[in-house]
This record gives sequence, structure tokens and C-alpha cells, in this order.
Amino acid sequence: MMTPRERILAVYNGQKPDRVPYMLDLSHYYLHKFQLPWELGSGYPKADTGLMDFNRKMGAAFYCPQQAHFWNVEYANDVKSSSATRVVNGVPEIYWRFDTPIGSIERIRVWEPSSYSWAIKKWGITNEKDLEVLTYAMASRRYTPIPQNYEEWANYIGEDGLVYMNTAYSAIGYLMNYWMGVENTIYASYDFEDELQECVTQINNNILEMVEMMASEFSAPVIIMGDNFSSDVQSPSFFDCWSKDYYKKAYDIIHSHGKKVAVHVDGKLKGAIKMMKDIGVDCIDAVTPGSVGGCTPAEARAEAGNDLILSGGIPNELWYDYSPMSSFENAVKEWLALKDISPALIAAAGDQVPIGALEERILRMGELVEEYGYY
Amino acid sequence: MDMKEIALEVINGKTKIVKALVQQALDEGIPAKTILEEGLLAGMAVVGEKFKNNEVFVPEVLISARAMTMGAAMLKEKLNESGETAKGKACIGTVQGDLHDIGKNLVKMMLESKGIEVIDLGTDVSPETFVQTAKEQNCQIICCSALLTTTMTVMGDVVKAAEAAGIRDSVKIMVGGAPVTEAFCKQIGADAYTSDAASAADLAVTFCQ
Ligand code: B12
Repeated sequence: MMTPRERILAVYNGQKPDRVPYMLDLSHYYLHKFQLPWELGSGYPKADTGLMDFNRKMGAAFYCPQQAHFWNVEYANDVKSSSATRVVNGVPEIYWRFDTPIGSIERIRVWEPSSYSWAIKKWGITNEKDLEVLTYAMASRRYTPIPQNYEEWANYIGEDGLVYMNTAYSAIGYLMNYWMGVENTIYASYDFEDELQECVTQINNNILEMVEMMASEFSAPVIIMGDNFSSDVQSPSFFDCWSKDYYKKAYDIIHSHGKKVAVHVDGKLKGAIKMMKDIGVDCIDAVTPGSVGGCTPAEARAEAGNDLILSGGIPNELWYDYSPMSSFENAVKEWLALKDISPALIAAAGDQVPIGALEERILRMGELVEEYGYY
Repeated sequence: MDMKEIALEVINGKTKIVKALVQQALDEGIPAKTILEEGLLAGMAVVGEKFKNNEVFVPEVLISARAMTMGAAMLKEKLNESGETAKGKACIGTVQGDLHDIGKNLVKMMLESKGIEVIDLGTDVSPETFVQTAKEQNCQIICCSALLTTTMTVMGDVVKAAEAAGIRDSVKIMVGGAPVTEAFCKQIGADAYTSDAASAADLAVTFCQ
């Protein structure tokens, strides 16, 4: 019998494992269940052994070291980067701030207890001038790897998983999700295209340095591109214009070090799978069939062809009791049935297991994989 | 001047050109209603159809909608003067606990592109606020957006709050957002679900008739 790690590696190496690998990102679920603080601003210096033990307890392989601290970041002397958590009118919030000789920018996220997450309170960039500040700051960002921190995670989980390494967002992802928002980033692509282009190039070059560091300095066999990618937001023409080149370069760097690369597509799948496949990605992560992803498992497989790994399968709403257990079970079985077409398949949650999910369904998924997942 | 020119530039998302053309049309004495309906809204209708058919995506829709909105703002005064009224009135918001607002904003723009007046309640909106607004402002439609499975259930509370406030029969409740489905819409007793903003606007028009 293969171990969970061996199964995942087999799939990445184009081989057929004994059964479909089954892994879950339980990080958000775990924080909420045990009401643990979510240090979005700083990350955790130590390997999260509690989370990894929880994955073991739930019988699902571990792969997602959320908030891990794998490198230190430094800026030039004239760039001050600061971030802290503070409480304003009783509500915790985190700010991230850059002070540079050409100006300052600050973005704020605020704690939202019902979704147990940090929602955006204030975007940091609203005009060309702000964008130039970010470009300036990013130009001098440098990384120092801490490979022993990765080893700590990897050693702790051993054969019970495979610790992926997460890159920062691409420039467009970074702007859309952190600094500007989707709408303003899109407007900027029309209103001040040159400034945006300069900023995007700067950030992407910087992230490519990070990718090079990850691929060369760490033992992680799989690197995942962290953007919350969705084909409705980054449409094919927008992707071609703003992101394609960067993704292709990142994939090439990772492959040149003999490593594999996954990309996190947590939204609309149609078109996105093909865009990523065409430039050489090995795995589409977070595949969410149904209304979020906008296609069925079979349609996703058809767009992917037979070699591209599809990892995911179970949409968020099926983890709750307002969806019948039979719907949940059918979704797991429908996903596992893809194994008859190709072994390039991993069973996981569409993105993360959501907070407040029914624990019995997490355990049930493990049973179903045992029952229906063997080749 | 041919209104098709304005429509074309709305489709192309050229805000500056749209504004210049709207000004030119006004200068030529073309009625604001004609500019709005045959120029701006006609252009946006084409974009809406293409969006439904997956020929254009969020970036293109946002850019066109912005051009349309900017052009429409220039006509507001004239439309008021000539006593033009909206086709209907809706209030829209992202439900309590949820701050995803891109889809909600698109729905708002598409409803406006069909000549419906929309009151935007923003994000993190409580059921009481939806219902109170609908009641006070005589809205025919309440539009709720939710992107999280943890907040979707608030839509059911909006339906209940509308019943409790005695306005359930006079208001249509529309729901949407990535994880929402037709089945969920039925389950909570809302009136309509659509998977995209353009279809939402088409349906909203029928609710206003
Ligand atoms: C952008 C984004 C964010 C941004 C939001 C920025 C913003 N201002 O909105 C940020 C980074 C802040 C964010 C945060 C989070 N997010 Co988020 N996010 C997304 C993402 C990638 C895109 C959403 C989007 O805007 N799509 C584009 C718009 C146009 O699509 P749409 O909203 O579905 O709208 C269309 C239709 O649904 C419809 N529609 C929408 N509303 C309405 C209303 C009516 C009445 C009708 C008829 C139709 C309709 O019309 C629209 C246009 O056609 C999605 C993944 C995805 N692609 O769906 C995840 C996603 C929604 N996020 C998710 C999660 C989990 C979160 C967080 C909890 C993450 C975390 N752990 O911190 C936080 C929660 C923050 C909070 N409290 O709200 C999950 C939700 C899972 C679930 N079903 O519960 C998703 C699905 C990702 C995933 N696969 O896991 N997110």
C-alpha cells in the first residue's frame, strides 16, 4: 500500500497510484473550530503541528502550510514596510504600510467574526501616484530563504502529506486582492496603462526572484502559484495582456529545477484550465465544480485533457447540513469517477474546507475515497 | 448625430469619447431620453448579451458600464427636467458578514442599464436594512448578493424579514452570487435567482412591469 505522500508524488510524476490521493486544506476550518487567532499580518514562526495533527485525525493528507514563514523579507533603507494588528472601536484590524521618499500607502483589513476572516476595509492604492509608491517599494524587496523552517513542516508530516510551497500573488493578483481591488485594477489598465505596466513588471520580476529562490533553495517538490485565479475576472484577453508572460516564466523556472507546479484556480474554470495548460502548468488546484467553478467535473477534465492534474472536487456548500448528505456523497463519487479517464487526479475540497463544515462529512469523504478511489 | 456612435463607444468602453459624444448630442438638441435609450443603454445591452454568452468577461463589462454611467450622469438634469422617471426601483446589497461586492456592483450597473433606479446599500447589509429601505423607498425589488456559504443563509432571513414587515407581497426578492443556486433560492422562498448580472437585469425589468 502506498503512503499519502507517495500517492501525491506518483500523480505528479505521471504515474498511477494505488488509489486517488486525498488531501484537504483544513486550515481555516481548524482555526475557527478551535477559535485560534489568525495572524494574517505576521505568519507563524514555527511549524503548525496542531494543524498537521488535525489533518491526521481527519484522515486527509496535509499539503497547505498556511501562514508559514519560509523566508525573511527586506527592503532598501529608504523604504519602510510596517504592519501591525490594532483594535479600533473594539474591532481588530491589520494595516500594511509602505513609507518611501516618493510617498506612503496603507491598506487595512478588518476582522469579520461571522466569516472568521479579514475583510478589506481600505484599499491602499487609488491613483497613479500610489501605484508609483508601490512600484518603488517593490523594486528593492529582497528575500532570504529559511529552508530549515520548510524542513520542520515536512519532517513533522512525514509520509502523511506533502508540503507545497506557496508563491506570493502575481502582480495582477496582488493588486486585485490586496492593494487596489478588482474594479480599480481593471480601470487602471485603461486609465493609466503605462504606470500599471511598470508596476506589474516590477512586482512580477520581484516574485520571479522569489520563485527562483523557492525552486533552488528548498526541497519542496511542488510549488503552488497562490493567485485566486478565476477566468471571469482575469478573462482570456486580460490574462494574455497582463499575466501570461509572468506565469510562463514562473513555470519554466520551476521546471528547470526539476520541480512541479500547481496553480490555484478557485473561481470560474472554463477557459482558465486551458490558459494554464497551454503554458505548461502541471496541476490545477482548488477545482470547484458547480456554480462557483461554472462547470461539471467531466467538463473540467475535457478542457484539461488527460495529462493535466485536477485537484479539488467538492464545492463549499456541500459540507453543510442544508445540502443533503446524498448530494455530498454523489459529488465525491462523481469526482472519483474521473479516475477512469485519467490518473491525473487528486480528491480535495474546492478551495478549503469551509468553517463550520460538518465533521462527519470530512470523515465520510475519507471513507468514500477508500471505497471508490482504488485503481 | 447617429446614436449608434455612442452605443459603439460604450461597447468599446471609451469613457472620454462617450462623454464627448453625449455632449455633442446634447448640443445638437437631441433629447436626453433618446441619447440615453438609443445610445448608452443600447450599447450596454449589447455588452450584456455578450456577457451572458461568455463572449466578454468582467473586465470588459466593468469598463463599458463605467462609460455608460458617466454618460448617463451628464443627462440626469435634463431627464429630471423633462419629468422622465425610472422604469422601476430596486435596492441592492451584499448580505451581512460578506464583503464581496464585485458581482453586486455588476448587477447594479446592469439594472441601471435597463433604466431601473438602484439604491446601493453596500456590503455587510442586515436583513432589516434591506426591508426597511424597500419599504421606505417603495422598491419593487430587493437584490441580495452573497459569495460565502456562511452568509448565504442571511438571504433566507431577508425573506422572513420582508414577511414580518408585511411587504412580502409587494416586493420581489432576487438572490445571486457564485455559490447560490436555483435550488437554494427555492429553499429559502426567494423569488428569483440568475447566475449572471445581465440575466438578472432582464428579469428585473419583467418584475417592474
Ligand atoms: C475577489 C474575491 C475575494 C476578494 C473580494 C474583493 C471584493 N471587493 O469583492 C477578497 C480577497 C477580499 C476575498 C476575501 C474572502 N474570500 Co473570496 N473570493 C473572491 C473570488 C476570487 C472572486 C469573486 C468575484 O468577485 N467574482 C466576480 C464576480 C463578478 O462574480 P460573482 O460575485 O459571482 O457575481 C456574478 C454572479 O454570481 C451574479 N450575481 C452576483 N450577485 C448577485 C445578486 C443577484 C441578486 C443576482 C440575481 C445575481 C448576482 O452576477 C455577477 C456577474 O455576472 C471568489 C472566487 C470566485 N471566482 O467566485 C472567492 C470566494 C468567493 N471567496 C471565498 C472565501 C472563502 C473568502 C474568504 C473567507 C477567504 C478567507 N479565508 O479569508 C474572505 C472573506 C471576506 C469576507 N468577509 O467577505 C470563497 C467562498 C467559498 C464559499 N462558497 O463560501 C470563494 C468562492 C473562493 C473559493 N473557491 O473558496 N475574496
